[in-house]
Amino acid sequence: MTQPLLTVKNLSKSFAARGAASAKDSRTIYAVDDVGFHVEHGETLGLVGESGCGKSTTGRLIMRLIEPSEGSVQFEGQDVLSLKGTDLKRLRKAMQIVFQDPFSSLNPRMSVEDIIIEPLVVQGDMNGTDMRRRARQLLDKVGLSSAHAGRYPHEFSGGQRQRVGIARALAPNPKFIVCDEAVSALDVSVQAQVINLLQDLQEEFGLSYLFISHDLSVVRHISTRVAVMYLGKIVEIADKKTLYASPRHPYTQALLASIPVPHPSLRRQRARIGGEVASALAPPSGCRFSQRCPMAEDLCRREAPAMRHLAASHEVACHFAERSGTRAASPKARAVG
Amino acid sequence: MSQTPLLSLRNLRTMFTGENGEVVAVDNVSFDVNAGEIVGVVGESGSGKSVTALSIMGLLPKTGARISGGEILFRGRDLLKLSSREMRGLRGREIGMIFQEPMSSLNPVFPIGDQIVETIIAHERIGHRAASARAADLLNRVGISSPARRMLDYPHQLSGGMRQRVMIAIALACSPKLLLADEPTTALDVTIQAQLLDLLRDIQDETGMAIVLITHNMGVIAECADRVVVMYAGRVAEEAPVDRIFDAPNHPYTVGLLGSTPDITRDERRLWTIPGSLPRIEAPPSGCRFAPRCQLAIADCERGQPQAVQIGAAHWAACLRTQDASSLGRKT
Ligand SMILES: Nc1ncnc2c1ncn2[C@@H]1O[C@H](COP(=O)(O)OP(=O)(O)OP(=O)(O)O)[C@@H](O)[C@H]1O
Ligand SMILES: Nc1ncnc2c1ncn2[C@@H]1O[C@H](COP(=O)(O)OP(=O)(O)OP(=O)(O)O)[C@@H](O)[C@H]1O
Ligand code: SF4
Ligand SMILES: [Mg+2]
Ligand SMILES: [Mg+2]
Repeated sequence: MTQPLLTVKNLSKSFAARGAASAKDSRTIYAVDDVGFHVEHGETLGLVGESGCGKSTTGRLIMRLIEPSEGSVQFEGQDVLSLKGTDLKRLRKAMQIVFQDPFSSLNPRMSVEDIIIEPLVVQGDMNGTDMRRRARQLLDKVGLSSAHAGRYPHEFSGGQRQRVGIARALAPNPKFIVCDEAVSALDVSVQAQVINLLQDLQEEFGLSYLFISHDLSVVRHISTRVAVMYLGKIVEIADKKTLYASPRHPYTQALLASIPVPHPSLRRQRARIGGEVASALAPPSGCRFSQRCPMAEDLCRREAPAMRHLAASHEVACHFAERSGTRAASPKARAVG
Repeated sequence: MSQTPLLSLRNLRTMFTGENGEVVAVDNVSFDVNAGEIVGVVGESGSGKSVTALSIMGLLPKTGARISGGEILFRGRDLLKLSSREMRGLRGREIGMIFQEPMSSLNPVFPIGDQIVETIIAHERIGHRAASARAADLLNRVGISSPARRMLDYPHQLSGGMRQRVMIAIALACSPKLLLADEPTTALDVTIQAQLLDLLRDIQDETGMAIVLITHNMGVIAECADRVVVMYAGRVAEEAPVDRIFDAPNHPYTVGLLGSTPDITRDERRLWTIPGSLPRIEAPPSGCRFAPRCQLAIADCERGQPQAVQIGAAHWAACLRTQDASSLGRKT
């Protein structure tokens, strides 16, 4: 087997809590806690979980937009965290990020062309004419027209702005793109266009994606494998089919049971989990899901479960994963009306 | 259904005054809500869902907005003819409303218990003590444990999901006949959304209250609605019982909306897409608002607003080519 494109090990990041009343009261948020995964060449790894579980922090750490407290990130065999100077520059070309908000992530005073070539200017190894030609090619590639090059972000709709963001990410010819809620702010009809575009570009350029989203249906559609996060930890990773058809972590099961059904004939009374996500400031001891978990026992409250393999492509962090069966996988149909 | 509807919108038209004259946000919208049913109103951003709800509640901005036509019949009375005092009496007591962002409708400087009690006292002749007891019951009913203690909390001390539960409690305080819920779960995580949708359905089962559930999410419609109104660019595109919307959509926009939504139960290599983007309200397409994006559009589509055609029992679509729409290749 060849080496994965990206390998993340024991990645952790803590923040001093915002809005602490005094220095004495300085508490710590373990936003990302001992996270590990890999991304293969040409695949999409979906990263799902509820608000505040650490998805964006994970994406930013990999990109080195923020520095981790601990852990390692290997990209094409290189240790990302120790890179400096020209090596870091080269890495910055190969890894790009697309953000959620097409309205705030583009500089309103720059023309679309200047926005797209900005990363190339920073790189500094292309002349002006080539950069402009590239910008126009990219506009065509993402389904806009090169005639748009001189326009400004406010002249575009949300979906078009997100295309500009994607064109900017593609400019330096990256191998890997972090899509952080890249389609979440878009209307469904436009979201579908951008999803198809991302898939087409992946095929054409052999791109790999880390696709961060809280929308489980979108993630299922676009991903090769999926990782589920809860309160700073990855609790389960599997190939898409396994994760959605036979999830083994009770949290994954609960998440899947919460997805609205795609058709009214599938309405069902489901096993819901009660409660809400615990505070990242005071995560429960032992398994972080133990307070809400329907299967929790004393062991769960005492000891944090380690990530372990159930099958070659299926890892889970639950003491009782063997027992959890596939409760959420088969919805009981209920009549409409 | 031969009963008179609880709520009946007749050709509602709501306009805003902008920098360059007036724009029409809600254009000729008609639909009924019967007692005890959940009507889902679905559409993308700017389709006029919230403006429709605010028009019903009499909560449009005081300046720059006006209802220029139509009727809003609630239990036979035209709400547009009521004085603002009469509307105040009706709001909360007969029609309750919950919004997407509960923080904006809760008062940040009062404990939530006081806010529920105030609502009850404003509408009923009831003592403070009895109102307090009812408030605690309501919090309990919406799934908030230790309600007596929670009543002392301020809104910022609660999570988004909890705040939405409080909003539901306030909306239910006087047992309204109708609840307008405008994207009540959109800002929340899926597990919390599922809890709240279950709660709304349970309450509806128990009280027989009618609910207008506004959402942009077809899944929420599939979960909850009895009947569905699909809106596009200020107009109703299609209206039908929920299973008909999913099994036999007759408007090209409904077909496209369903096809654009990834389906968790099937593997599709590519999503069906609607080309282009939503029209701007300042420059609406002439004729059918969907025509510039519609695969079936013909010259006639640009000539005038297509009339709603009856397709079947309680099923209408405002399209000149409904027959062909039903065969549009969705989910292939
Ligand atoms: N710069 C920061 N300073 C302090 N706390 C932070 C900072 N960035 C993130 N956090 C906290 O870290 C945790 C994880 O945040 P993160 O943004 O990674 O979550 P997320 O999974 O992306 O959530 P969402 O779905 O809402 O985008 C949260 O508790 C958040 O409040
Ligand atoms: N106060 C206002 N002044 C001017 N225009 C407004 C105002 N409120 C709404 N509009 C316009 O009316 C149209 C309909 O808006 P509305 O809020 O009803 O859409 P919606 O369907 O609720 O969308 P969303 O899904 O984004 O909530 C939009 O084009 C909007 O810009
Ligand atoms: S009326 Fe014409 S343009 Fe409008 S939806 Fe029907 S076919 Fe398309
Ligand atoms: Mg995030
Ligand atoms: Mg709205």
